[in-house]
Amino acid sequence: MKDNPVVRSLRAANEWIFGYGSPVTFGVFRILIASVLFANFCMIAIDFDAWFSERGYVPWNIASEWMGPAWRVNLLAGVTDTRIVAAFYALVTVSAFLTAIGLWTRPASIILCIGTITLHHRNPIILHGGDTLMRACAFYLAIGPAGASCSVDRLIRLWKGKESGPVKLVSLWPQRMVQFQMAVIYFTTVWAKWYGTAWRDGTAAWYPANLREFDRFPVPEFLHHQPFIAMETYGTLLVELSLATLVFCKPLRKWVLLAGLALHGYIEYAMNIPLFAFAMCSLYISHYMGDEISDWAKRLGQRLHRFAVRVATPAGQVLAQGPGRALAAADALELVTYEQGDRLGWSAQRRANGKPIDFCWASWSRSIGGWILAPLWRMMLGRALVPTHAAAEPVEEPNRVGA
Amino acid sequence: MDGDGQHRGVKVWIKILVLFHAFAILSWSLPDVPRSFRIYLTPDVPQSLLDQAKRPIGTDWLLIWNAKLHRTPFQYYLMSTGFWQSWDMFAPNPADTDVWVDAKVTYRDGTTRIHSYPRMKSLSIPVKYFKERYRKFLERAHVDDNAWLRPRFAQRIALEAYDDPRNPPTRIILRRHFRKILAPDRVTPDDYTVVDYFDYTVDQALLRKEAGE
Repeated sequence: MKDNPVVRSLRAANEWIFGYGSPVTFGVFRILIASVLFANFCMIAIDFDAWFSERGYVPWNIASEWMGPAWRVNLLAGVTDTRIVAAFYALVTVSAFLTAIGLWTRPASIILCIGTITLHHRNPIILHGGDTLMRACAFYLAIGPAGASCSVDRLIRLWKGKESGPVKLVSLWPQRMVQFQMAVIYFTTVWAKWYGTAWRDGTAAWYPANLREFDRFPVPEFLHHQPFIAMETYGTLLVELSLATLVFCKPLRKWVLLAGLALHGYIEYAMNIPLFAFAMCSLYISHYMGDEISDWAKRLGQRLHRFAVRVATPAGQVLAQGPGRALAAADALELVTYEQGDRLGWSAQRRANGKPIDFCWASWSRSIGGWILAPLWRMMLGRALVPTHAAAEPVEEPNRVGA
Repeated sequence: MDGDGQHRGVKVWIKILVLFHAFAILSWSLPDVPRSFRIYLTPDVPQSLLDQAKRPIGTDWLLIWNAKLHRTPFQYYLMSTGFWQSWDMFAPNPADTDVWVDAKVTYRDGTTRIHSYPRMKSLSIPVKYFKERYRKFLERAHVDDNAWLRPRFAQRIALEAYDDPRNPPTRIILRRHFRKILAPDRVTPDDYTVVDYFDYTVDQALLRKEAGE
């Protein structure tokens, strides 16, 4: 039974989907896709009156008729008071921001998920593929371990001593769902395109490039002629199919994802399809394991070692254990070394040449996990201190990227 | 979700839900049944008609089976929850017609003005990035299948064109400007064809209410 290849394959699939690993990937994915969601809501808010008010193009009765009689998740169903819709919209936008930075992540991501679905059901007529993707991803954020790493929540947990050491491992199925979602998108779009004559005869790329309503930045004229049109058409199909299949093959992964970035980069440059490329490329990170991302951050930190600094605490004081862990976790690139100083106040110097530098700037600017906390950073450093005699034990190094 | 270092494992019901969700989104995302095979979706079609129809082969059968599945209560898992999705960007063929719309507004005193609905080509690059929703809305709102959207569309145009309570808009004519992109080996004319496609008498009471009077 043990050697049965079917059983072995099922076990391997089970381990791949439901096995445990670092939540860092999901944390980075959360930052990327929630930032896109936040930007999207901010952009649509400019024309809120046109799209969500009762005097706009899509009042509730129009949206209701468009969606049909079936019941749908829509907390704004039947609401015709634009002030309520506006308040709800603001709440969802704030929840997108909180999810992006990882503060109160679980409730924020649940509000974001239900809010996004609600707003999409409130006005479905203005949605494009990027919105559909963002809605799907909001669901994965709500059910996955979105706040386990790369979040303000984790810094707070470390600071308060509720968590210590490296990030806790989590089941990887939410990350696998993101990978699967990406594969579904690319696979089914290639399949649907294969029914189109323009894709088969190699002219499909010609049409969008000539739609003036999609124009963005100028594209060299030669790209609008054969054989480049055919190369763009078949190249698109090839890259999209690879992003659904070959991307799962580790030796090819990097090249396939780079091809995907090139494809979406070109579309983003040449065509006016807001945020779609950013939303799609946010999914790419899901093909990397959390440990790979942590190692990559370490290697990047080593390359940037000329920016490394030593930050010294005031004489007679050291970093308390929890805050010390939080500060270390925020320093994902490992560019800051905190040590006990012998001066009256804080001090800092560059590790490369010993030149002095403002301690707060030195510490904050190199701690990418703390960038969002800029207004609080100086106060945080102050509150992180305890008298030397009160320090229980030396600060352990947590998994830094797990911030 | 969070592990505790001892990996208690994922509960069976979670595994079942995850696999079901994966199946559901894949099923919902598969392409529509090609037009030539839609007869196989119609119930009670006489065998004689089926005999004359083009025979599905290979994956065509899968798409037909899939489309039938979408007519079962299975659809509610996706439609009601917001998990619905489709990935048919530029598929099966990319759009080949440039369309934009404006409106001829007639005021109470008989004067007429052209009111511009945001046209992407006329906007600056940064502005059009923010205003793209207008193009997306128009893509759906101007087509004949959605003609029922036109009265609301025109009423909103009237509100936007309303700047003098003594001389409100009374009539809106929506005009479609379109240009078909021809194949690469043919020359696409630069000119747009203009068609008046909807004539609307403005609801004055609604206009005043929406203007906050």
